Amino acid sequence: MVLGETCMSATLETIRQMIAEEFQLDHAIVTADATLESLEIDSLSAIEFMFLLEDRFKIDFPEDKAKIKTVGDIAIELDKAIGAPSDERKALARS
Amino acid sequence: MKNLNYPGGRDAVLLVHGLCSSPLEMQYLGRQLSKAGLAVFIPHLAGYGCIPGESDVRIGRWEDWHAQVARHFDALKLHYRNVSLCGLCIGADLCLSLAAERDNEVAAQALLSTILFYDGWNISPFRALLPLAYHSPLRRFYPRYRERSPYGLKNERLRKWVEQEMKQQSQSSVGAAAIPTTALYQAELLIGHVKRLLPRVTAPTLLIHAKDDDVASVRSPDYVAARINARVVRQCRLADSYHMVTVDNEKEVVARRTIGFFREILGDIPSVRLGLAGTSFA
Repeated sequence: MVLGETCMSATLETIRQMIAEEFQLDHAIVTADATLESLEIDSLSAIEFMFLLEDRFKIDFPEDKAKIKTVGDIAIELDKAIGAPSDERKALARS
Repeated sequence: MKNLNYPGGRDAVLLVHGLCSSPLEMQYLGRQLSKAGLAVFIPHLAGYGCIPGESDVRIGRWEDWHAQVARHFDALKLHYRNVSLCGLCIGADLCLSLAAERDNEVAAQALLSTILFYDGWNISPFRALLPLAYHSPLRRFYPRYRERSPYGLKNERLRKWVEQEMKQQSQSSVGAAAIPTTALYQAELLIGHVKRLLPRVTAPTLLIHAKDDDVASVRSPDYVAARINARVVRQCRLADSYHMVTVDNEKEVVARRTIGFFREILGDIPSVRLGLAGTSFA
């Protein structure tokens, strides 16, 4: 397994656990392919969850979050965002 | 829009959302109450609530709003040892209306951003005239009261998202872009009814309100606290929120204080889960 895959699987597992806990769902149904809609996570809850991730990991997701449909999509975007410096990190770097 | 319910133990809470909004604005609080061991039911009230994405709202009479809340309360009473109430905005007024009618049956109530006076810092002076317009030909020209920024939200990220939702559709998850004049008129009638009946309210009451509420100042919860006859009245002021306290910056504080209050009144909440999910109390 390459390093990128290891990171992705660790991130995915973190996201799965967080979603299962936050929305009181059976961990087994929170799969990478599960859409937020199929898990009955509405748009308000989804955006609040994204804000929670931004705060917890000190990252910024892209403005357009419409393409995030599945649990796996969140993990992919989180890995991308962790790789990219957030506004806060940029500010720290400048100071 | 479907009703939301979350499993719990032997005690239940009926959550009532705000006027022209939906159960979605109460779901975070509902989930936290459920995690604390309380069964939670959040109904969509016909003629009162709105459906995200749909612009056409047929507003009912406030008496019908009250009757629906009473019916859901009675249904929960059949299954649970204690049933408490929790409402946001006009939903808090509906809780008061029911508590005045069922003084010994309501175990406790948590009232969030209660509105008895539309005197918040973002309310237009013309807003007070809108219910009058209902009685005049003016209602043809002012059929709706358009909500304006900050939409009850101090959280800028969420406000930005709500603004986008309101641009794309007339209804966001936390309320309508514009409220029908008929709804405001019915709300005024409900408020008048509640003010008259406040001395009849004896249920232990928690009032949570933001100091900087943009829709209703702290005059409303203070007015309630001074007039009800509850043996326990607690007030909580939020310093970093506006009107929509169940989704704004301090939603965790709102959940924590509400759970703490229900624990204080109900005693230990059994953690055993008897199950409610999938049960309809409509």
